Order: sequence, then structure tokens, then C-alpha cells
Amino acid sequence: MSRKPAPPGHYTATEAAEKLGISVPMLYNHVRSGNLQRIVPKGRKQGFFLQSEVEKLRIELYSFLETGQIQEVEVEPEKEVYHFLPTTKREDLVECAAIAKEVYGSEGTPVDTRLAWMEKNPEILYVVKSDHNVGGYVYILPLQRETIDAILRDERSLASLTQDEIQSFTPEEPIDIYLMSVATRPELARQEKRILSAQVLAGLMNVLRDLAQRGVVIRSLIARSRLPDGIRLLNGMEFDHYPIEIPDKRFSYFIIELDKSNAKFIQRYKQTLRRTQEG
Amino acid sequence: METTIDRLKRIVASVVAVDDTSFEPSASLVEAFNADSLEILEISMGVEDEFAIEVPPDDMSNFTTVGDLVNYIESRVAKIPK
Repeated sequence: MSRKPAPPGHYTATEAAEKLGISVPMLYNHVRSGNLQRIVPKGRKQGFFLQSEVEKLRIELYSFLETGQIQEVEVEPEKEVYHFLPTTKREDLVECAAIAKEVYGSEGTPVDTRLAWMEKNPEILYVVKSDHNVGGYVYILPLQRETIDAILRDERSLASLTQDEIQSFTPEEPIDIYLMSVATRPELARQEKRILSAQVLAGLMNVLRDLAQRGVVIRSLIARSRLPDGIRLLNGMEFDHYPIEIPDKRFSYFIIELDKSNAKFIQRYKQTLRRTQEG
Repeated sequence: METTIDRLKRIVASVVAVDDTSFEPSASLVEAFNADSLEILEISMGVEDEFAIEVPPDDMSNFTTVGDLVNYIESRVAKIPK
């Protein structure tokens, strides 16, 4: 579900925050304080704000000095608290799809397909989430190595993956993981965005360590990206170039073969796995 | 004996460029040192190793300013059973 323009006489959260000269989290503080009403039209998830109410609040927040300069009335910002957690909730998947659309230009695989995957393996989507929204997410897909390669070669689409092709996290057989998508809300302020991204990555490291504690053997982590930020991130995580034969390379392709990797987070995974296997 | 802020400075300086004058409690990791998400994660892992504490993902919100981080580390270290 994509973010739609506000109905007549209303603003979206981003527009209302811009009008007030404040951040979106600060806008929600005003909602919590009862200064502003968030209106959710029937059948929609996205909330809107009456333009007249926003204007009223703007006048309350700002006072004009004799010099004509605008002075903002101090309002103590309340920090938005985000938690990293796994989810299979439809509404979270819908929010992630909206973030994907803003970041990648497409919502990607339909939500219903992803929900079907989660019936087989409910541990493939992790979000950082506050009381009000999903701030970022990471999808990890355990798949057969040849399936991942077929996706990278565009011989298969992600949307064509069936529930049966999603692997389970069990100690029985080594698995390959396709790091399908990592993103944070692009409209966040720089500091908040970077800290949320770090929270997503730290969460991902914890997920790997948790899998190690359960004796799940990960053979490889594989990813691709065409965005400079994504490529920088994967290089920074010490992914290697994946030398896969692909005729039309629109992406950069990355792999970590865990038995060869010295990346710090992989070392931690391997230490934990060793301890688990030694009992 | 090294203070918490000195030990933290060593960790941060191993990840991003830091000079003596800029490392003060009000300095933001992102704004003052231009730390990106991966560098914040590296600092977090450095803090875990140096102070023998675990930094859960939900505590990453403490990685805003040097002062916040020092307070966080000291509160976590204080909870370690002696």
C-alpha cells in the first residue's frame, strides 16, 4: 500500500511537520499531548491532519516579536523509542513496503506472498518499531544456494518464490541466507536515521548469534545492491565481491562465505556456534 | 587510571577521525564525527569488548552524544556483579 496524498483540507504527517517547522516525531508528541488530532480515514492506515488544526497549532507555537522575527516557543522533544523485533504482522509488512517504495522505488514482492513465506518461516522479517511507526527493517531469506543464484541472475523473481522454497532455521542442514532488503525511513533526520540503521544492523548481528545458539549453521550470506549506500554498507560489513556469472550486471553482487570470513560479527557468530556445538 | 571518556575516545578514534578538542560530552557521534550507521555499530562492538558489557540493539539510542554514551556505559558497568 503506497502513501497517498492527503485528502482536501488535510496534510500528511510530513507536510504538517514541515508547516510547523518541526520533526515528524515532534509532531506525534503534539498528537500524544492532545494538541493535534490524527485522523485516519475509514479503510486506511495512514493518518492525516486537518489543515485548520495545524494552522491553529502553528500560531500557538510561534509568537511574533516586534522585530518581525519568528521565535519558536520551546517544546521539550520526547524521544521516539524504537525496539528491534521479529514480526509477522500484516500492518508491519505494509509499512515496510511503503519504506521500500520510497527507498527503492518499488514495494517489491506483494505482502500476501511474504506473509505466505512467513507461514513456513516466521523469522525472516525484523523491524525497528516505535509506538507510532516502523523506522526500518531487514528481511533475511534462507534459500537453496541455486535459488539465490537464480534470483541474482534474474532467472527467478522474488515474487515467484513459493512457501516451500523458504528454508527453516534448523541445525540439521547448513543454510544460505539471501539478505533481501535493509532500509530505514528516508524522511528521518540524519542522526536518527543513522542510529536506527545501526540498530537494525546490531539487531541482525543478534539474530545471527541467536541462530548460532540454536546450532543453525550458516554457510553464506548473499546480497546485491545498486544503491551507493547499500554498496558502501555491504563493503563495510566485509562482504566480498560475488563472482557470479551474470550477463547484464545492473547490481553489485556480494557474498560472505562464513568459513572464510574474518569479519568481526562473523567471528562472533562462529564463536557462539562453536560453543553450542561443543555443548 | 583511564577515565570512561578516555577509554571511549580510544574506541571512537579507532573508527572515525577524532581530534583532542572535539571529543567533549556534547559532541554528537553523527554530527561531530560524521559516524555512519556501520561506524556506530563498530563503536558499539568496541564498547562491548572494552567494557565487557553487552549492548542490546534497543540501547543503540544511547549512541547520540559522547556524554550520553559515557553515562550509558557507566550505568551498565555499575550493574556488573563484582
